[in-house]
This record gives sequence, structure tokens and C-alpha cells, in this order.
Amino acid sequence: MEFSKLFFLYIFLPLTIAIYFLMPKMQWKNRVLIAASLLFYAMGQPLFLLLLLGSAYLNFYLAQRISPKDKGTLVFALVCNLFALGIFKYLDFFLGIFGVATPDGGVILSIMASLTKGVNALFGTTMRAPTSVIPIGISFYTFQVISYLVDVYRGKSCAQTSFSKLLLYLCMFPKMMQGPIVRYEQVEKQLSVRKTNPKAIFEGAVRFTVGLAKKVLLADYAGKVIAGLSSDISGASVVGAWLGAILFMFQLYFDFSGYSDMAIGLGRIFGFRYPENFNLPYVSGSITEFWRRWHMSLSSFFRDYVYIPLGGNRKGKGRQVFNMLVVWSLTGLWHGANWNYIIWGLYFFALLSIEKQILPRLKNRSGIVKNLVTMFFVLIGWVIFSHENLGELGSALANMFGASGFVSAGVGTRLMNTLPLLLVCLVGSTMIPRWISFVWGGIFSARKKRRGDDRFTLMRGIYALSLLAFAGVLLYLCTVSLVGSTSAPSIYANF
Amino acid sequence: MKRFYSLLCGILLAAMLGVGLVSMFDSDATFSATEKRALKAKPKLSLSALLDGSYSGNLSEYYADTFPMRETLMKTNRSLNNFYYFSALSGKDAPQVVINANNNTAAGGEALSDHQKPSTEKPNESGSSQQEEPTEPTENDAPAEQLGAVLLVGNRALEVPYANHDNIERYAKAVDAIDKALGSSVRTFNIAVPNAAEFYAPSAYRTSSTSQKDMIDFCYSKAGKNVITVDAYSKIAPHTDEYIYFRTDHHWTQLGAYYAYTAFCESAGLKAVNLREFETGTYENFVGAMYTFASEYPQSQILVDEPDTVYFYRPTVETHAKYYSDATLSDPITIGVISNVSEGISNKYLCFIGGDTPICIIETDVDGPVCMLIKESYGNAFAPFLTQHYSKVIVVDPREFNRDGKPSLDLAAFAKEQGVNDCIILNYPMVYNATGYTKWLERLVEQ
Repeated sequence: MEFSKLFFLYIFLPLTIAIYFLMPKMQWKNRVLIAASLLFYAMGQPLFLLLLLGSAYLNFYLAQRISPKDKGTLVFALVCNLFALGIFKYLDFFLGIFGVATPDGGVILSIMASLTKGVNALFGTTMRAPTSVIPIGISFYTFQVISYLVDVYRGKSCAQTSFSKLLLYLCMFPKMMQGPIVRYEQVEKQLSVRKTNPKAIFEGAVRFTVGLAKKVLLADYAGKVIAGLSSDISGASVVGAWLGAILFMFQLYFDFSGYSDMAIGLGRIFGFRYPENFNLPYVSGSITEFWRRWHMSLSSFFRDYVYIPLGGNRKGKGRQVFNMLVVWSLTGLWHGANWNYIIWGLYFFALLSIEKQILPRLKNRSGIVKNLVTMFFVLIGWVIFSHENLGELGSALANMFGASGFVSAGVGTRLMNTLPLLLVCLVGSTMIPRWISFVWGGIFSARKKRRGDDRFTLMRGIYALSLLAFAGVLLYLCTVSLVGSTSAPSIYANF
Repeated sequence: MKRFYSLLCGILLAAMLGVGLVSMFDSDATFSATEKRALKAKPKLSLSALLDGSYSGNLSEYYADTFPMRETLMKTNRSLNNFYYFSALSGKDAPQVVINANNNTAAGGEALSDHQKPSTEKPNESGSSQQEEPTEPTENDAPAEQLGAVLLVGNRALEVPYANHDNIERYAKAVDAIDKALGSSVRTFNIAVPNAAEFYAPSAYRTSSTSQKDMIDFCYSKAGKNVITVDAYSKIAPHTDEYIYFRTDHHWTQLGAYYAYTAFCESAGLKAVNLREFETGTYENFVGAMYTFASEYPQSQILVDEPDTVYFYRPTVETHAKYYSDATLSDPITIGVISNVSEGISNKYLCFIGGDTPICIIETDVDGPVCMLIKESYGNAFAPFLTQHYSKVIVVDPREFNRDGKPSLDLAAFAKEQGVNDCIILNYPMVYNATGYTKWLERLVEQ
């Protein structure tokens, strides 16, 4: 299931929240969350629920046997998890590299199709064969498991002694599908004790609606325009190709950061504090800065669990370059089992390597220019990212630079139609919304003057009401839009 | 503040829960009048559907399709689209919106299928291009094929085909195959007609790959040597200041069909009846299928505000028309060559031979040969003119045969049985430029 479905918004979510808060004890609250999360997962891929439970139990079991002296168990556990990820996500890709012919749709898919057939024949059921074999969120799940196992090995955390708490950590529905990648140590205590207050819950709810609006009101519409452009004669010209590329840049950001906002907001409602995942990446003045602001939980994961263990920058220049190469190849591969993702990762490796040399010399250049240049390279990166077929990637890049003419039929109309959306996306990716919210809060002096000052004042009341109205309007507009069109499936759902 | 925040959280949760409860217990609509389609039905719970995940997927879709106050919210969404499809600054003659048209929309030609149940006496609503979504996978689930675009320009909606030469050639060959199958005693006419976009679209949409003149010329250049190609184009083109195409519908008017008929008569060696000789009449207030197609865009409102009028021309000869659900010609249903659609039927184009039926046979008091018209809905407005020259006009819709559980039809055998002398294959660009229809055309003689 997705957050941007009416069924989730008006049935699943309010019922879960209501039942959760009716439970008097934390133990019961946790049970509600686990049940809701498993149901949430089962509503997408019911049979993979068994896989999820099996994997969670295996990791629960193995982690208890990991000790700082025993690297063998850790390695075994890591191999098990990476093997599962590899089988489901990368098998066909690697077989392809070695020239092994695979059936249409891939090995696993055809095995699953035969299995379905067999089960149908045996039990007289009429199950449809799956169309996708990547268990939802497996990439996020695997990385969270790795952080857990490694942190236990490093002695940063103790192995969880309660299976249900580990399960809650691993399968919590707000972050199950698209992160953020929450490390075990970040929520370890919250699995047992969560202090929350109505203000935090309210803020979580507002945060959720903001994320929902980013996805439904911005990203999905950008996606619609892109789909229209890419299958039409208007898309190939320079104007069409750039319009499509810029919209994709916004779509990806608002989709993914919107999802993170929803996850963080939902987490807060239930008393969890998840790490921030995006910090206005499109205001960056360099590629280095961009990666400090984009998908932060992933880049910091690679830093702490790959780059630094490999020696980071402590083992000489040559080794550092090698370490970066490994990190960026993996970053690319993590995003998908295809060459374009690897090229995309290596593209950033190259950019970062060059930038390290020249950045110190650019200190005095204007911020806007640096930002524009950075965004140009980021945009080209997204074009690479968005084309799994390398031939199509080539022609997409060629079209951006004039291979199919400057304008084409209909592109003017599409550009005109999209202007307001582009403008909102542009403003929405800058500091401006934050400034507005800061000033708005300031007007009503909503911020606490000193700790513990929590009296009701008229101004604070009005401020809180304005937030409620804001969330209400966003939720209403999202509902209108969701009723108006079936929301596009999220781009990051397969990761 | 604590209590105040609790109150606000409570309000928000109560609102969402409230909507949720209402949505669970309200009565669900089954048909959307605006979209002209059946809404998703509640999925049936079964172990298989539960285990393969289709139950929850369908449940979620059903839920979205039958959300409380859906029609009102759809209207609001249309207003919201003023933001997403902004066109306030576009030029008067420029398209305000460009909508992609693929084979699941414009050229589907699926019937809403009253004619599966021959008890209905009224013309079936099958001329429209908006189709009921199939619940089981059918050929229409094939990957969408980009056929062209729909433009909203001024008070017109235009369907622009993008030339696909492989498809057009395949179509020309299919016509040739029919000609060969019918044998040398039957004359086969290929009439590829242009649609409104060729004359009323901005020039970027009627030149190079969107030039229908080029598409027709190419189609005819690939015609078999015994196929008689009919140059309807040059008979239609001089009359663009007349009412030859609807603005709110993708069809031509019967006047447009008349000019094509004069071209056909020239090719067939017949003398076209003068337009003045027909008794005429009108059906007012026709808001066509293009409006349904574009109704989510606020710019389409003008199509409702300025609807079309259907002008019809009644045959001067005596006609008796019946339609049938298959080639066994059992259970005939009587229909008018020009039916009365003045009340209760929104698709006024269905007045022509009752819309798209599998087989329609018109018998006349003319002492003449027999003709067979193979067509999509463009042929409906054309068929009445044929009655002036033939003792029997047999109208066949290839979309209704040899696929997806529809009856089978061996065209050659059927034509022989009916004593057909002339076979006319008439179609419009969104069809002869696409594979779907051509496939069905091929299957008529492939058995």
C-alpha cells in the first residue's frame, strides 16, 4: 500500500492511530504498530510477508550470537542478508553481465510464475502470477538490518532480546517502503520507552500532510507532464527535453522528500524520532554539498558502514580514491540493477574527485553561479538516472543539446500549461518556505521564551489553528486530486 | 497549550475517521455520468485474491472510485486543473491543452455493448470513444500505442494522428487481403478519410508527420493493384468553411460524409444524389465524445457551452434496417437508418444506423447490386447515402468479431452468401494509423 491512497488516508491511518492511542500500555501500543505494519505490508505483497518475518527472525537470532570478538557470525549474517537482496534485486543483472541468457522478466519472476501455477493446480486456487519480484522496501530493509548487526558487533548497541521489538524496528510501516534509513541505535530506546506530547503529535500530523502534498500536488503532476512529453512528439526538441528533465528533477525531489516527510511525521505521531533525510538539496553550491543534503540517511550510511571501515582518507590518497570509487559504485547499484545507475554513481564519483581539486579555488565566486552550475550537473545526473536503456539515454542527452530541433509541436502549450507548477516547485525547493514558516511563527511568538513555558495564549492558539487550517487545506486538495486521478506509483517504490 | 494541541489532534483525527466511516457505510455509485464509465465494483474476497495481493489492490481502487461525494470532488479537481493546465496567456489560435491519445482512448471502439443483449430496442451507446474499462485482461490491455494527441483549440477539440508508416502500410495490406479473399467478382474500395484536425489544427499539427494528406497518399501508394482507392480528401477539402466536422466530437457531420460519398460515386461509376433532394432534420445540443475525453480539463467547458447540432439527411428511397449480434443473422433488431435520438440519448451521433452494431443490414426498394461497408463509426454517417444505389447495404464493424470472446466471422463466406458486389472499407486516421483495428480487419479473412 502507499501513503498517497485514499484507502490509506481515510481508513488505514486514522483507524491505526485511533486504536494505538486507545491502548493504555506501551507493550500494547507496540503490538498495534506491529500488526498495522504487517497488514500494511501484506496489502502490497502478502506472500513476501513470510520472507520478511523469516528474515527478521534469522537476524534476531544471529545478532544475539554476535560479539565483538566473533567476526564470523557477523560476516555470515551480512552475507545472508546481502544474498537475499542480491537474489531478488540483482540476479538477472549479474547473470546478464556474465552472458547468461535469462527468461523474459527474469529468473525469479519465472520461478514465481511456475510456483504460482503449481500451487494453483495443486490447491485449485486462481492466484495471479506476480508482476514484480522485488519485495517492497528490501533495499531500505537490508541497510537497516546491516546497521543493526554492525552496531551490535561494534558494541554500540546491545542485541535486542525481544523479537517483537526488533520486528517493530524493522517493519514499522511509516519507513518500511522508502526510508529514511533509520539506524538501530537511533531508535533503540524508543522501542521500549517513547515520550510524546500533543504538540509533537500535532506537528507530526502537519508534517505528514506537507509530505503528502509534496507528493500528490507537486511530484505526481510533474510526473504526469513528463509522461505526456516523453511519449509525444513535443518531447524530443530542446525545449521539450529540458522541460522534461527539469520536471523530473522536481518530481524526484518532491516525491522522495515528501515520502520522508510523511515517514518522519508519522513516526512523530507514534513517538519515534527519525533522522532527517533531505535538507534543501537544490540550494547546494557544490556537488559535495548536494550529497550532504540529498538522501542524507543513505550517504551517511555509506560513510559510516563502507567508506570509513575501508579506511576513509586515512590510508593515503590512492586508497582514498579507491574507497570513494567503491562507495559511489555501490550507491549507484543500490538505486537499481542496471548499468545506468552504476554510470550515475560513477558520474558523481568523477564530479566529486574533480571538485575536490578545484573547489578551494572557487571560494569567491557568487553563490548563485555555483548553485546553477551544480544544478546543471545534478540535472544531467538525473537524466542518466532516469533512462535504464542506454540507447534512450544517449538520444535523451542528444535531444537536450539540439539533435531534434529547438521547438516542436505542442511544446509551447505544455510549457505554458506547466508554468505555475514549475514556479511552485522552484520556490518550494528554496529556503523561502522555511523563511515564511519562521516569520509566521515569529509573528505569533509561538516559540517558547523559556523552557517549560507552555501556557495557553491567544496568539499561540491562533498560530496552532493556522497550522491546522493549513494541514486541512493541504489534505483537502490532496483528496480532490487523488479522487480526480489515480495517483502515480511512487518512483522509489522498487528500491 | 497541551490541552489545546490535544484538541487540535482530536479534530484532525475525527475528521479523517469521520470521512472514513461515511465512506464505509454510504451507498456506492456504480456509474460515472461525467466520465461515461462504470465505476470499479467491490472486489470479491477469495483466498487466491487475498494471497496474490490483487484483493487489496482492487479494494483500494474500488475505494478511490466510490469515494463519498466523488462527483463534487471531481468538479473541484477540474477547477484545480486551472492551475496544473494553465492557459490564460495562450494565444487565441494556439492549442490550450495537448492531451496524449493512445490506443486505449481514441481508437478503442469497444462497445458499451447493449447489443450483447438484443432485447434493447434503443440504439446502443457505442459510438463514443470512451470505453468501459475491461475488468479482465483483453487485447486493450496491450501496451499503450501513441496514436496522436487531442488538442483543445478555441471552441474545438481536435484529434491529431501521428503518422506511423508501418501501421498504415499494414492497413493497406489488410485491405488488399480482403480484396483478394473476396475474389475478382467483388470490387473493393479503400476510402481513407481525413478528420477535422487536418483542416482546423494549428499548422504544426497538420504538416510533416501529422499531415493526413501524406498519410492517405502513402496508404493508397501501398494499395493492392485491384483495390480502388477513393480520393475523398479532395472532395472534402474545399468545404472547410461548411459544417463538415463536429467541434465537440471526433466524428464528421453527415455533410462531411456526403462529400466523401460524392467521391465514392465518381470512383464507382454512380451518379451521386444531389444534397437538396434529401429530407433533412436536426438534433440539437450534441456534446460529443471529445468532451468526455477532455472533461477533466477546465478548458473543455466551452464544448458544453457551445454544443454541436447534428444535421441528418434521410434516404429518399424506402429502407428497412435491422442489426444482428453475429453472422448467423438470428434475432434481428429493427433500427432506423436515421433513428430518433432527440430524447434520452446524449450521443446524438448514434442516430446514424443506430451506432456501432456488429452487423447492420439495410434493405431498400432500389433495384441494384449489394454492397458491404466495413467501417468504424465514421462509416455510420456514410452508410445512409449508399442506400440510394444498392438493394442491400451490409454494414460490418470488424471490432465486434474474432476477438475477446466475440463471435467469429468469415468475411469471404459471408459476402458470398449475401451476394456482395461492392466492398467498401472506410476508416478515419486514428484507425488506419493504428495496429489494433488493422489486426481485427486482418482477422476477418484470416481463417
